[in-house]
Order: sequence, then structure tokens, then C-alpha cells
Amino acid sequence: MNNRKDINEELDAIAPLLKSISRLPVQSVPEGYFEQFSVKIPAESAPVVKMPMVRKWMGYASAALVAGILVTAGFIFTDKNVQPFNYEQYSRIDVPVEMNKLTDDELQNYLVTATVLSGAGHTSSSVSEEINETITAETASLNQVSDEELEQFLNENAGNTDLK
Amino acid sequence: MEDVEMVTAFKKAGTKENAFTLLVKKYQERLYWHIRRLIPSHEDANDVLQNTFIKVWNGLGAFREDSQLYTWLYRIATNESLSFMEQQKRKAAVDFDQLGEAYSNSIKADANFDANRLEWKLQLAIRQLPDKQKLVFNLRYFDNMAYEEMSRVLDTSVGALKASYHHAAKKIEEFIKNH
Repeated sequence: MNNRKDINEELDAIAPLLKSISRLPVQSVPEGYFEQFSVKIPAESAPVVKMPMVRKWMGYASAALVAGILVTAGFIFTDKNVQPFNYEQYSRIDVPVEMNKLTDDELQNYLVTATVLSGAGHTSSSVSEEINETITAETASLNQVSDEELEQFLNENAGNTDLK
Repeated sequence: MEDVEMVTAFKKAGTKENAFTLLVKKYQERLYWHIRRLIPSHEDANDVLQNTFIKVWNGLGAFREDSQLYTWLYRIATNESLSFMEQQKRKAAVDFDQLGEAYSNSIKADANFDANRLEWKLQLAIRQLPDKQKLVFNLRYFDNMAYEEMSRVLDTSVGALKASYHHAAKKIEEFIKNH
């Protein structure tokens, strides 16, 4: 460090006002800062240990094996060779002609299968039977109506097109 | 303990931490004020002082014992302070004048600030100087550093440092007289 006297003599020559100003710090510092000051040295990074050559290759082999299993499994479970639906092909089919080619047994099999798959408890024949039963019951009840009552009913509903 | 002894003790595993603690105790206050004269905020100055001592911890093992320890410490603290100021300028995207104004406001915000006292006028006057002149003035005026030592800290010729100091002292006196 230089002598304070030399520095003051230098200031006398260039800026004498500065010689009279106190050099003591004026800025505020938290109380006890210098007493409590400590340096936080960062922890040294852990040393890097080199893997032996055999273990290194074993590691690579394991990684390759796992990758192989994953790729194979991916192909097995995802590659089902599904053909896309060909709408154009089906639009060219002549449905009545194709239907005529079917045998009765094939139709019967289809109806049974379709009923089972749809979950309904009726076959088409049981539906026909139900309709016939309803018509028979209605015919029987109409037989109990007299001719006069029918005549009157028709006269009253002469304008109703549903009865024509 | 003398500086040379501290450096020798630091290089031995068994006495390394104790030597470093002694070095911190010996220089913390001087380095803190050197930094604080450049960076007005205490928190920022504290961060820079921490970084300075971490650099010292990392580099002291390779320090040549024929060099002067305190010159080396001032050099690290100066470089850390200048890097911090450069970062501040970049972060705030401001030029030198704007940063100087912000630092002046920071000085005025100090709990002890008294605009009539010459010591505070001196602080505001130093703020007006370019970084290099500020450094030269502080090292000579407050730290009583010889030009030859300053030359090693700042990597500048003695002649250039003398010229810088003279310009700075004249500007500061002028500022104080006018405010």
C-alpha cells in the first residue's frame, strides 16, 4: 500500500478539496454482517468412476436385448394385416340377384344368427305368428258388431280417407 | 498470519480450510468495500464478494507464492464486479448513463444518505465517472494503492493510471463544487 502522505500531496496539486473528505465508508451495512460473513463453498462434484470394459459391453447387450423384445412385441400386437374396407367393391353388387342365389337353409341360418347377435328374443316366424294372432282377434271382435252398427260407423266417417 | 504462510497452509490438505477462513477474515472487509464502491446495493455486493471468494478457493492452490496475494485478490474482486456490472447493463438493456443514474438513485436510497455531507457528494461524484476511472480513483483514494500495484490489478501502464487518476480527481472536485 502507498503512503497516505504521498497521496495527499498528490491531491494538493490536483484536487485539494478531496484531501479534506473522510475516507471512511458511509453506506449502510446490515448489523453484524462482517462478523457473520462466511463463504458458501459449493460441494465438489462427485468423481466420475469409469465402468470396466466387460461391464460396459454387458450394459450395451442388455439394452439391445430389451430393445429387441420391445420391437418384436410391438409387431406381434399391432401388425394384424387388417384390410381396409372396400366401399367401391360392395357398391357394385346387385343385391336382388345375389339374394336369389341364396338357398333357404342359408337364409334360415342368417336369420337365426342375426337374431342371436341383435339380442332380440324373436325370429321372423314368431313375429309373423304374433301379427296373425292380432288379426284373428280383431276379426273375431268385428264379427260381434251388427250390420246396422257398421253402416252407422261408415256414414259417420264418410270423409275419412283412411277408411277408403 | 502472513499472506505467504496462509497460501502455504492452504496448499496442505490438513490446514486448507483453516487457512482459507483466516484469509477471508483478513480481507473480507477491504474487498467488500472495494466492491461496494462499484456496486451500490449491499445484496449485490455480497453476491459478488461470495463469488470472489469462491474463485479464490478454486484458484489459490495454483497461486504462485512469489506473487502478492492482496493484488491477486483485488484483481479477482475487480473482475467479478465488472462482470456483474456488465451483466446488469445487458439484463436491463440500458447504456452506461442509465445504469449510472440507477446507481445514483440507489445511493440516495441508503438509510444514512445525507445530501449535505461531503462524503455522500463524493459518492455521487464517483458515480459520474467511467468504469475505468472509477476503479483507478477508488483504488488510489480509498485503498491507498501504489500505481505499480494498481498496474498489476488492472493490467494498465503506470503512466495511463496516473493520467486516469488526475482526470478523475479533477472531475470529482468539480462535481462537488457544483452540487
